[in-house]
Order: sequence, then structure tokens, then C-alpha cells
Amino acid sequence: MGRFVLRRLLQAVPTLFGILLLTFLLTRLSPSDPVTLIFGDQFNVTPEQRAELRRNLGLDDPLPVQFISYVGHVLVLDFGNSYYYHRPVLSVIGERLPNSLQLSIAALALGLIIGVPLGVLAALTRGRPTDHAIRLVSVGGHAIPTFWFGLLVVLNLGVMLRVLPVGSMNDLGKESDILDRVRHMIAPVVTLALAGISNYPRFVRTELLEVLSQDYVRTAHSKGLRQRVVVTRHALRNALIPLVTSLGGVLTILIGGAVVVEQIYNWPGVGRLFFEALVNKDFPIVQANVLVGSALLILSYILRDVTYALIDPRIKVKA
Amino acid sequence: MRRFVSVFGSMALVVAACGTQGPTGGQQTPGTADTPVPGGRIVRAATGDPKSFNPIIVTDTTSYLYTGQVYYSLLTRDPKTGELTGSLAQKWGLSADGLTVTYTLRDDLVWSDGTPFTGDDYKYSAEAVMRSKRTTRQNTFTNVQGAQEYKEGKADQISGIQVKDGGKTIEIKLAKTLCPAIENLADPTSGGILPSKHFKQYFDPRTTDTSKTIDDNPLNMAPPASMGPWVFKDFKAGDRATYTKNPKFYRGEPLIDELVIKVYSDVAAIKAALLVGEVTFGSSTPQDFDELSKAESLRGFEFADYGWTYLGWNPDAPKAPWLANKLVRQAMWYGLDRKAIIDKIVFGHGKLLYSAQPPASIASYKDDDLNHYDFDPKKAKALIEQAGAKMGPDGIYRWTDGTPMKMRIETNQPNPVRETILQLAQDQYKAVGVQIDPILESFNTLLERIRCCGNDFEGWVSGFTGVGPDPDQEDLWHSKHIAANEFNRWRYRSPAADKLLDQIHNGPDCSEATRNKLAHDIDKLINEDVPVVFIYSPNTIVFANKALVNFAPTASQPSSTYNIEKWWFKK
Repeated sequence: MGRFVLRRLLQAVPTLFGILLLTFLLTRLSPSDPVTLIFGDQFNVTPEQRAELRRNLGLDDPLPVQFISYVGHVLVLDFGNSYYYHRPVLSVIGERLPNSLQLSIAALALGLIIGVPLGVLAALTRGRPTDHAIRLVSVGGHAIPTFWFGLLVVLNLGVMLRVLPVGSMNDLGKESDILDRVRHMIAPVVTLALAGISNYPRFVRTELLEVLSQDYVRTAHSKGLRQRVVVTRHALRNALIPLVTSLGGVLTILIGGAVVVEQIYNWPGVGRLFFEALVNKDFPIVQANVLVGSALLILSYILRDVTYALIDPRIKVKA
Repeated sequence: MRRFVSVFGSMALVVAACGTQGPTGGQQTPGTADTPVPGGRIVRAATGDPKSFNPIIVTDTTSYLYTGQVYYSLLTRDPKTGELTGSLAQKWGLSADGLTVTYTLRDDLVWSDGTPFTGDDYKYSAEAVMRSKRTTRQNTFTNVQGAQEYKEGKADQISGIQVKDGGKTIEIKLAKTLCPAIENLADPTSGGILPSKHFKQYFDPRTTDTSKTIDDNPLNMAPPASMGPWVFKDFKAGDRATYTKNPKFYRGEPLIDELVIKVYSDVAAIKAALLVGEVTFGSSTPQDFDELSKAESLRGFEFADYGWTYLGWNPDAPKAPWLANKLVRQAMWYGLDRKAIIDKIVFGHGKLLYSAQPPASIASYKDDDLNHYDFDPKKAKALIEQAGAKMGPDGIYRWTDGTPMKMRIETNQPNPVRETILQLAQDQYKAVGVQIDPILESFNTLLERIRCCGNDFEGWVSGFTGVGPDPDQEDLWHSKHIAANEFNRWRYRSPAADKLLDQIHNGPDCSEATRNKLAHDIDKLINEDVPVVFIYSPNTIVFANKALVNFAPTASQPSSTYNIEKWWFKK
């Protein structure tokens, strides 16, 4: 297992290098001039000031020299300064990351806690009203756009009925109040989890129905095992493979946050930062997000493969 | 400076305080008979984080919102009369030869940490500006003696700034007359004066080493002392900045305990927060005006703004040579129904204007002898034909060289108002025989395209928010400011206008009456030459919680900070 992980990590190096090169070239070849972006909507900037900044940023150097310098900095996790905030990118992202993690982890957990049992229930009640109801909810939830659902929640539950906050992470003065934080998390977490709550039942139902018809399950039943034991210990474990596949990119979501949900619920996370960075053409932040996101995507695929082996002994990971 | 003036400057043309008009009840006037109740928290809405709390290295309005709570200038403008008035300075003046500006500070000024405020803080701030590599404020000191030498490391201080009388008097020597010098120099950073005692540990100005700057230090994100009504407490990125009241504020300790500037993702989020009472006050948009006016808990204010929304033309555009022709530009003004834009796109929350001085500038605004360019498609067509174009078989005019009169007009998105204006312009210009290809792009892309690196653009819809109460618009219209990153983006060239702009900027007669007359003469030239189509001047709309007493914003003081220490909440 250890060798497998090591090999996959080594294989990831050229991939990451390619992404590094691509993001570097895309930003350098973009018609947007970093010096203009840094000065933003400022006037009375002299040509000398612009030239000086260009020199300081190393933009006068040949592209290969710039790239080598960029790689050198990235290797020590120095993504440069944000064009917009004029502060180190890592510090700007670091301030927001914990906020996004709170939201994403809770949404992931909620999606699994609700979605998986619903899928099991639908499979066990196949063709009955419960199954139909779950499938209806699943398809409906899948069809509802996140932004629309979020706006409805804010308008109806926040502004009109006032049972939930309209946004933000906490009420002012209640920064350390856990219950207040939970109250603020309800709407964004449910909105973010909507996709999972809708999708997971479909994955689990389909796969579980297939597994339940297999011989080893029949054998388990004939041994006199109770239905609950057969499902949870024998069938469900094998039925989870497609779900694990769909969770492959989960780490990316955790770091990237949820751009739309954070925007709607005014959640100060990485997703909103990424959106603002795109609008402001804050390339260092965009580059860092893409790079870290890519690294985490690769990592989550490795974790996925390892998880396959853990939940299904028939699958072996070979170095 | 312009942007700063628009935010902190002053000129009180209150078009309407809609609390007196709308269904939300009467306008609450300052000086209510009720006894003020101390305590509480003001929550102010913002749409972004500050780039920095150091005004030297920022230029955006959002950042000034944060820095303006703690750093103050020597002068401000009276919210009601628009006249220059004292802030930290009690007296100011320009010598008879126009070459020496003098400010005398108020007595007993102290920073929130108890340190006396002196002219040395001013001089420190000026020197920090001149050595900063990231500031764009050095032009403030272009005419100050010794500023350039200091910047280049040939001196260890700016010789033209002298601090006298134990720090109470600041005397500034100029190399040549500059009419707006008193106001411009009153604020060395364009966002207030810094506490030198604290910043000196990171940047000591008494050096000729020009590599040392104030640009990067921890105090840039945590102001150490305040001359304003609030003292910085903490900042949480993407969420809020918190301030506590400053007991040493020179106008008196605020009644309210705490100010929070809370960040919202957009105006829709601010609207929701206003409706549920999460925010005490915040700006709003014309689209939301009616809905917010109906809210029981809110009062609305509306007043003329110091800016305008415009359709700019590039007379040097190689793909649209007709834009160099004044008659065509005039035709484009006649061909756009601007009244419909005000009525249907901003729902009446704006005012038609015909030249560059905004309606909020009472002293310099005058429109009775300007061409109003009322919507007249027939006249537009006649002018295009007079310019030499001939109608083509497809209903689009052909220019003198046979080229169809097709061009691009660009604007930024997301901006529903400008996007809709562009859509309307496309339809209306087609009706007068000019085809428009609309382009939507991000604001930064639009800025880059129109101000930099070439002429590959024809027209654009945008807004200018930084036109202040001073009638001097030399940097907008003088031909010497046609360059990348300068503000004459419409490439306006007029020797007559240049001459008048030089006079309004550099004198020799800097009297208000003369400068206002010059401003109007310039307005007439711009109105005739049409470097841009002035579409309208938008109104500023602010909504506040009704329980907030003494909140009375004006055009120049939309946040009403001129009396913030007197605000309190009615129980």
C-alpha cells in the first residue's frame, strides 16, 4: 500500500508541473498587464513608477527566467502577493480557508448522512410509494439550481419569516457562540448539501439493488442473518463503490469552497475569494487556487483508490 | 484626490430626503428634543474588504471607507454649504503670491493613544507618500519645494514643508501657483494623516535611502491610533472590521459604543440585511428603492451625486473614423433617448446633464445656455448626412470612404444599469442608421482596453464617480492628459479648453467666482465638442434604520460622518 501511494505521488509530479506551466503561461500570455492590474483604477501613475514596478516584479526578465523564479517560489509555498490586497496570497487564502472548511465538511457530512440512508431505503422499498417519493425528491433536488434554491431560502426563511439569518457566519458579538454559528450554518449547509442529498440516493439505490440480487447476499439470507445485518455488513459495503467514485474530487470542494453558496449567504470563504479574484483578475490568487486545487484533486484520487481497497477486499492496490 | 473628494469632500445639494416623501414617515431632523441615549452599535454595509488600512497605498472607495474612520485630514467641506471648512486645522490660508500655504492646527489635538497630534505627523505622512513605491499620491506634492529631491534621495526631508510653533503651524512652500493647493495639500495621503510615532518604527523618513518605504508593515492592516471618532479594534477578512469609540475625538466622544463595517457579497445581500435590521445603514440601488421605502424600519435618503454615467467616444479609433467628426458625435447625442434611460432604467433616480460639472456642484453647475440635445432621431440623421455619410441599402449609413458605420460599444458586467443602457443604445442607434456591436466584459478588462495600449475600441458606457465639488477638471479634459493611465480617456483635444483648464488649475486668479466662470466656459466647449455623451448624473440612495437619530447624510457626506459623534439609537 505504501509503495502504491508513493508511486502515485511521484506520478503526480509531472502532472503538477504541467499545471504549473499552464497556469503560468495563461497568466503571462493573457492580454492583461499585471502592472496595470496592480495599479487598478489609479491615475497619475508615472511611466517611471510603472517601469519600476515591472522591474520589481521581474516582468522584464525572459519568460523562462520568470518561470524558474515562479517555480522556485511555489516550491516554498510562496505564491507571491495578491494584486488586489497587496499581501501574500497564502495569508489571504489562509484567513478564509477555515470558514470554507466548516461549510464544506458539514455539507459533505449532511449529504452522506441523509443521502446514503435514503438510497438504502429506496432500494429496500423498491417500487413502493416510499421508493417513488425518494426518487422524486432526488430528481427534483438534482434539477433545482443551487443559486435559485439559496435565493429562495434567503428570501422566504430569512427576509420574510425571519427564522434563519440572511447570511454571514454569526451575529455580531456572538463570534464564540457555537449555537449561533450552527444557526448561521443551517441554510448554507443545506443548500450546499442539496446536490449530495439528491445524488447519493440514486447511486446507492442502483448499486444496492444490483448487489442485493447477487448470490452471496442470498447466501447470507439463507444463513438466517437478519435483513439489517445483510444490508449493512454485506451488501452496502460493496454498493458504496460508485459513491466513493463520485466523492473522488471531494478535497477540491473542501478547499475551493462553494462559490455560489458563499456568495449568496455572504460566507467569507475561499469560494467567494476565488470569485472576487476572477472578477478582479487577481491572478496570483487564481493561480494558487488552481494549483492547490489540482494538488488536492490528485490527492483525493489517490485516497479514492485506497478507499476502494478498504471497502472491497476484492480490489487490490498494486504498486 | 478626485475620488477622495467625492467621498469626503462636501457640497450639500440635497435633492430629496425621501423620508419626507415616501411612506416611511417624516425625516428625522438633528437636534431632536429626546434625550440622547448612549450605547449601541452601528453596523455599516460595505461590498468588500479594504486593500489596506494605510491610505497611502490605496485608491479605492471601499478602502477609504475603512481608513476614514481613524485617519483625518486638516480640512473638509461643510456638509450644508459646500465651503471648505476646518477639520484638524482651525485656520488656513494662501499667501498673496500664491506660493505659500499655511495651516494652523486646533488646540489640544491628541491621538486616541494620548500622543499629541502635531505638524510632524503631517510632514511624516507627506514624506511617506514621496518615498512609497506603491502610492499614486505623489502628484499632490509636485509643486512643493524639495519634494522631488526628497523622493530621489537627494535630501533627507522635504525642505518645502516646515513645522513651526511647537508643531501647531504647517507652512508649505510651492514652486508655482496651484489653485486647489489649499484643499489638495490638506490631506497628504488623500485619506488622512498617519500617526508618525507608531509608523516610524517601520519607516524612518530621515534617510536618503530610497529603498526604505512605508509600503509593507503590519500597521497597514491594523491602524495603531486614531484621530477620528473610532479606534480600530479588529479585522476579519471577508467579514467585518470593528471599531470602538474614541474618547479623545476632537469633536467629542461618540454616543454610540461601536462601529462595525460589515462586508456583503453584493447589493442584494445588503438589501436583505437592511430589511431584517442587521445593518444600520447602507447604500442602495434605484431598483430596490421602492421596496426598501416600504419597510417600516427604514428611512431613505436620496441626493445628487458628484458623478455621471456617460457614453465615451474614441476619436482616434481606426475602425470608426467618423468618431473624429464633431457632427457625428453630436448626432450620437441626439440619437440617444436619455430621458427614457432615466425613467425606465434608473426609475427616475437621476438627473439629465449636458456637460461635465455635476449637478451636485451648485456653485459651478449651470445648464441654461448649454445645448440640451433632446432626443431627436431626425436631427441625428441630418447631422450624420451633413458630415458626409450616405444611407446604405441595409439602413446603415456609409461613411465617406464607403465603410458601413458599424462600431463596438463596450461596458462592464455585472452592471444591470449599464448593460441595459447599452441594449437601448444599440436599438436607438440602429434607428438612426448606425450599427452597434455590444461588448460586455469585466470592469478591469474595460479599464485596460480604454486606457491603455492602443486604440482598438470605439465607444464605451461607464461612470465617473470622482468628480468633486472643486470645479477643476484639468486632469479629465486637458490634452496633456491623453496618455496610458491618464484620465483623458476620451482623447479630448481643444486648445481653447486647454487654455481655460490651465487657468482654472494654475491661476493666476484663483478666486471662486473666476474659477466657476472658467468651469462653465469649459462646459460650453465640451457640450459643443461632445467628447462624451453625458447620459445622466445618478442620485445617491442611502437607507438607514429609523431608530438612528441625527443621521442626516448629504451629497458630500453620504455616510453623515460630519456628525457621527452625535448619533444615537432611539429605544
